[in-house]
Amino acid sequence: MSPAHRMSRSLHDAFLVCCFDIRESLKSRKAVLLSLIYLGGAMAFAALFVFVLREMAWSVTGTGDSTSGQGAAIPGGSSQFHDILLRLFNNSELADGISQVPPLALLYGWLAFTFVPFLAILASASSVSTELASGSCRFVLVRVDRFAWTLGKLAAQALVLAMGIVLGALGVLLVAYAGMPESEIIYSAPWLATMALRAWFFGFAYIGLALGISQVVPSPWASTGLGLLVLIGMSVLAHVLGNDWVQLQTAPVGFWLYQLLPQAHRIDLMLPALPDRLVASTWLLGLGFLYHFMGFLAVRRWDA
Amino acid sequence: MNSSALRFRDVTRSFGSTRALDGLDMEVPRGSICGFVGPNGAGKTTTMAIATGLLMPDSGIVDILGQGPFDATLHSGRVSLLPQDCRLNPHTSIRNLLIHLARLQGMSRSQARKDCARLLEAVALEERANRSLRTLSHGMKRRLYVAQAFLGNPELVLLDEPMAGLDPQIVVRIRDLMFMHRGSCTLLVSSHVLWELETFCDHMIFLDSGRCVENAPMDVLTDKKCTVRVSFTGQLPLQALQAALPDLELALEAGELQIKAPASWSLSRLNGICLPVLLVNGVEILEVKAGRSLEEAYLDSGKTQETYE
Repeated sequence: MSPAHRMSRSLHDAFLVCCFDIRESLKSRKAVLLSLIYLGGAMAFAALFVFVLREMAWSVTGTGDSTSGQGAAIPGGSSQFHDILLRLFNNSELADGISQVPPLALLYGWLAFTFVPFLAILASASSVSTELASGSCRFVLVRVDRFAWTLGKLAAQALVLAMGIVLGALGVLLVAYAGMPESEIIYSAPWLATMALRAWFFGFAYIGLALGISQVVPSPWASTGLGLLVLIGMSVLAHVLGNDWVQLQTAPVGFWLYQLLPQAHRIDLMLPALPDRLVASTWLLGLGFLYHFMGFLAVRRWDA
Repeated sequence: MNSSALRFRDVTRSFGSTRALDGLDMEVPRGSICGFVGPNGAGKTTTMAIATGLLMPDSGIVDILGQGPFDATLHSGRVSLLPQDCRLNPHTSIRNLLIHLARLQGMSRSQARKDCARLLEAVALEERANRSLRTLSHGMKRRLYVAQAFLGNPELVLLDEPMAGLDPQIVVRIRDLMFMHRGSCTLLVSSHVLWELETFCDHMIFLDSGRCVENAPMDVLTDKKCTVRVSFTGQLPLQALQAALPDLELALEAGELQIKAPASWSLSRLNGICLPVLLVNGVEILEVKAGRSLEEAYLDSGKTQETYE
C-alpha cells in the first residue's frame, strides 16, 4: 500500500470517526450539560451587561429606552475607552483593535476567552481516556490506525467546541435582542461572529491539550483532573513568563517557553491587522496539534 | 498462499515481572475453526491482543494472513476481534454502532446497512436495532459484540470467550454463525467450555504459562480416527480379545475398554472388526464412543494438568 493511499485512507477513517464522535458527544449528558451551563452563563452575563448599559444610557441621556441607540457609543469607540486600553496594555495597536469592537462583542469575547479553555478541558479531556479505560477502543483499533482514530477525535471535539461557542454567541445575541436597539445588534452581530472565530482558535489549543492528556492518562476522571491542573498551571506560568522583566531575565528560554503557551497568543488575536491575527491563529492551531501529537506518541504504543 | 492464517514464532510479552507469553510458537491453519484453551492467565487474551495489534510483543515474529504483523490499514475488515472485557458508550444505538464499525472497515453505507441487518438477525437482535446499548442485558451486549466480529468478510476472526453469559438458544445461533463461516474464514475461539469447543472446532491449541503445549487437529487430539472406547458391564475377557484382535492395542482405562487401531485404519473398519469379536466373546456392551473427549485430551496434556493440580 503506497504512502499516499495510506494517508488518504487515514483521513477518510478520521472523517468517519469524527462524524460518529460528534453524534455521540451530542448524545452524552456531559456535553449537553456543559453547553447549557456555558449558554446560561453567557446569557446571564449578557443580560447583566445590557442592564448596565441601559442604566448608563439613562444617566447620560435621561432615557433608558431600548431604542435610544446610546449603548453602541458607551464605551466602545470612545476616546476615553481607548486611553484606558492604552494604559492597560501599553500597546497602541492593541488599544486600536479592541476599541473598535462594540461592547456586546467585547463582553462575549471576554466570556469566551475566559471560559472556553475550561469548557474544552471539561468536555474533551476524557474523550480518548474513556475508551481506553472501558476497552471500547478495541472495536475501532482493529479497523482503524491509531493516528486516524485520534485525529478523528480531535476534529470531533474541535467541532463540538465550535458548536458550543456559536451557541453562546447566539444566546448573547438573543438577550441583546430583548434589551438593545436593533441597529446596535446588527452592528454587533458580525463582531460577535469574529469573536467566536477567534475564541475557537484559542480554544483549539486547549482541545489539543485535552486530547493530548486524554491519550496519556487512561482514566476519564484522572485525565479531566490532570487537564484542569495543567490548565491552571499553564495560566500561572503564562502570567509569570508574560512579565517583561522575567522574559528579560530568562531569555531566550523564557521567551520560547512562553510562545508554547496559548495565553501568549491570545492577546494577538485582538490586534487590528489581519496578518497579526493570522500569525496568532496559526500559532494556536500549531500548539493544539503539538499537544495532541505529544499525547499520540504515548497512545501510539499503548496497550489497548 | 501461506497455509496458516496466524503464526507466532518465539513471541514473548511481559507485564512487569509477569511473563504472559514465554516464547510462544503456534500456527492456526487457514480455514479452520481453532479452539484456544488454557488455564486462566495462560496468555490467551494477550495472544489475541498481540495478533490484532492492541498489544506489542516484546520479541518474536507475528504473521497475520502471510502479511507480517498486524497493520490496521492493511488488515482492516480482514481481521476482527471479539474482545473479552469492554464497555461501549451506553447512549450509542445498536444499528449505528454496527454501521459505524462496518464503514470503518471500508464498506459503503448501503453495504453496511445490509450487513448489519444480516448480523442482527443472526444474533437475534433485529428487534432492538434502534435501541441504545444501555437497554441491553449482558448477554445481548455479548451477542452484539459477536455480530461486529463477523461484519463484512473477515478472513481471520478472533473470539475471546464468545459464549460466556449466553443462553442455550443463542449459543446454538452463534455456533451456526461460526459454521456458516467454516472454510471461508479462520476462527480462533478461546473458551473454557471444552465440550462446546469439541462440537465445532476442527483444530485445537492448548496454551499454558505463555507457551503452546499442544497444537493439533481435533481428530488427532481426541483419537477419533482410530480409537474406540467401549463401556461395558460384567466381566471382560481381555486376553481372549487381544488374541482375537492381534493388530489392535487393547487397554482397560477407567473402567472402559480402549481399542486403538493403526493410523491407516478407518473408524468404520475398526468398528466392523472389533465389535463382532466383543459380542462373540460375551462382552455386554453399554456404549461405544469414538476416541476420547477433548476434556480428557486436555487434562492428559501433562503440563496443563500440572497447572490445575
